Amino acid sequence: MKCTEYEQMSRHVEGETAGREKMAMDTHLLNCPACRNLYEECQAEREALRAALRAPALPGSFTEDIMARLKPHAVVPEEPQAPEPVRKAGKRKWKRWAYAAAGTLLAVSVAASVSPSFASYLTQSIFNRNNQMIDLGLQMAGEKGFVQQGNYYVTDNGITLRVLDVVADPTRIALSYVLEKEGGGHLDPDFDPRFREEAGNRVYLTDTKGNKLADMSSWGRNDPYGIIGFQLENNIPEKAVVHFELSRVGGFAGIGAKEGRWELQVPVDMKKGLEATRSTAVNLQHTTGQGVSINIKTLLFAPTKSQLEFETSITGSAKKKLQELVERENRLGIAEEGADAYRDYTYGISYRLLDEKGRVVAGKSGPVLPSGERERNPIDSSGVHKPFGRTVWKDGFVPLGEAKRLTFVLDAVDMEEPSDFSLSFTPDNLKKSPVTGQYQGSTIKIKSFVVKRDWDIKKRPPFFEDESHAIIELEGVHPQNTGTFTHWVVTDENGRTYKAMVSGGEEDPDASGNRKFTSTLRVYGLKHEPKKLTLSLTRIMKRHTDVDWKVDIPVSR
Amino acid sequence: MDEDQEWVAQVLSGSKDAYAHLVNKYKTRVYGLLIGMGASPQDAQDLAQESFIKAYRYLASYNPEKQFSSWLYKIAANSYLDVWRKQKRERMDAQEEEYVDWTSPEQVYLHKERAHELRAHIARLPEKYRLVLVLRYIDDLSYKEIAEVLELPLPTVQTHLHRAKKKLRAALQYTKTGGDLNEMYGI
Repeated sequence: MKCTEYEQMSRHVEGETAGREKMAMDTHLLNCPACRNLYEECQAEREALRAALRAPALPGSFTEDIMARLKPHAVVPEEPQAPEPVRKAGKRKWKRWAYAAAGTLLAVSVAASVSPSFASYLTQSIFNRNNQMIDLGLQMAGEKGFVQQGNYYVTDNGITLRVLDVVADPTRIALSYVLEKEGGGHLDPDFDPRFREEAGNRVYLTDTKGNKLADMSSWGRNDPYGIIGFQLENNIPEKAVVHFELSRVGGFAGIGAKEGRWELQVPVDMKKGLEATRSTAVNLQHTTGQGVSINIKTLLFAPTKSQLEFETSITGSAKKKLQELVERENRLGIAEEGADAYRDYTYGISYRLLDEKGRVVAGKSGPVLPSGERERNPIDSSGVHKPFGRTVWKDGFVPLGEAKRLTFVLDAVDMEEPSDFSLSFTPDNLKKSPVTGQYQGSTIKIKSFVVKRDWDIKKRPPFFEDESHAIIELEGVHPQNTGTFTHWVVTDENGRTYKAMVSGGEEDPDASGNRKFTSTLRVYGLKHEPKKLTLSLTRIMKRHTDVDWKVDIPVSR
Repeated sequence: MDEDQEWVAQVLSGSKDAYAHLVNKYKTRVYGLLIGMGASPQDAQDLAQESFIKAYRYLASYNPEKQFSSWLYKIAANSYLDVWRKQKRERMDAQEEEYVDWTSPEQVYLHKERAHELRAHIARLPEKYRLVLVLRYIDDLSYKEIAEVLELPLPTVQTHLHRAKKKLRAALQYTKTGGDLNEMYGI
């Protein structure tokens, strides 16, 4: 896919991209430093806005004051004909949930109000089964006794950085920490910059000789605690050390931050996690009719997650299609300059894993899998691009130490392919006669065209930059199996071609599988009111569900 | 489906105390919403209490198929709009003074300055943008949930949020290079 504009990245950071759009962006982010920077910028922005909008504390009596002003709701006596049987069942069910919910709430609030003395930290790890703020894998590892605790802390400038719990296995290390204030209370567990090494804050993992094994790869908050994760590759030693070198803590984007120097080394014993991990060589290979080759290499069961390692690549027909696509875009003059064509080409697979009873234990963006189940059993995926469209994936899901058998079911292959659809229109006439076209069963309507006079302010001269651009609004309907339309170009009456930045959304499919969509195309560089325009779709992302591969993955005991 | 609905059901079957769970769960966010909208801390507190009381009284009309939080935010946003819409302009300058006192004394200057600056910019955003922005960041509401609360089409929510952020970005850079904010916002 092409590089992303701010609006789309901002939506992505906020979790508002889904399905194929999300997949395309995640894949693109793996290998595009410019977009990763934009990603981090958008993240910083989100944190700053959250912090700015964080409300001050309310007086303790707030709830009591309200409760004192309320009278109990009158219970309407049951009339003989009311309520229907279904409803009664519903009520009983609610009651049962009530107990479960109360239990959860209690546990969470205990974790959140732990007093800052070390002894009391030791009584309960935050990696425990009732803490829904952390992923299930950490909850389970905590429950099974994989938490290591020790008395690790460092104090500077009135702030103590204290590491509480560590969980380690060959797939990852997770640890929790807290920033205590002198005389009680905590700072916000955040620190900034979190991931950029050059600027004062570093958290990384080494072996006992000081050779670096990994940088911090994830951060999350479970206030007042912060949780740091390291994703591990192969060749994990029995002992490792987490290094903290922090100079600004307690806030993000400068908000709420305290300066000082906090250096701390925390030893991690990998032995127990290594011993509890089973790895099975799988080596199953399949090439789909679309030319996507999948090679499942290893299945690994570790205390904090299960992990499927596989490689995808494109062959034969798919490579040919890609060549066509690149050549065509070169002719149009819209190909990314110097971009690795293969890297720029997006494809992906959707699959499910079933246990021996046919239950879904994990799923990755499958069309077949009900979205509820996908949310309950998500796959957290990380991929590394290799040359020529090869990608090595490590897909993690909930720990399944006891699974007897796993079945891999390929649900779909998503691939970009060239498109030859175009629509010509006269902007002036659009209001009177909207232009509608059909392509592969989709209806596309051009709703409006405007040239927006806009400018942006830059930090460096020239401070004002003319950002005027054309905006084209599209709407329409996609039937079940059409692709997502994200690559558009516009050609004006002089034959000049501009690339459009696309953003928009899709509604959930209706009963017959049709999805309504709206798209906004921003065409930078197009600043005049053209007499005539041609809108062309250059690529579509198409989902192929006619894939038939179902294979048992051996699970050694 | 979730615990909120269960508490609502308990309240409706006569157990008043169950409502305290809902108040405790959402009080900070409702308060944050009202402050983010531009109410002073004291007014926001009063309005938050009124909103919870209103929600309690009309609880029977709440549709349990929808999110309780969305319904509650809708009540709070409407309470704010009812009371403040007319007086908003005159009050804006006075409120900014009060913002400064939000942060507790031990919090560092940087925090005050940056967050304060950002809040001042948020307060100057056109109301429709501000509402979407505040709903988005006090509780991480999805665009869909925001659309539900404000009864707006989803693409409008998306556009409002994008424009709000663009204006904030521009404003933050503008104040660094010097300039009149009113000019910035076209007020």
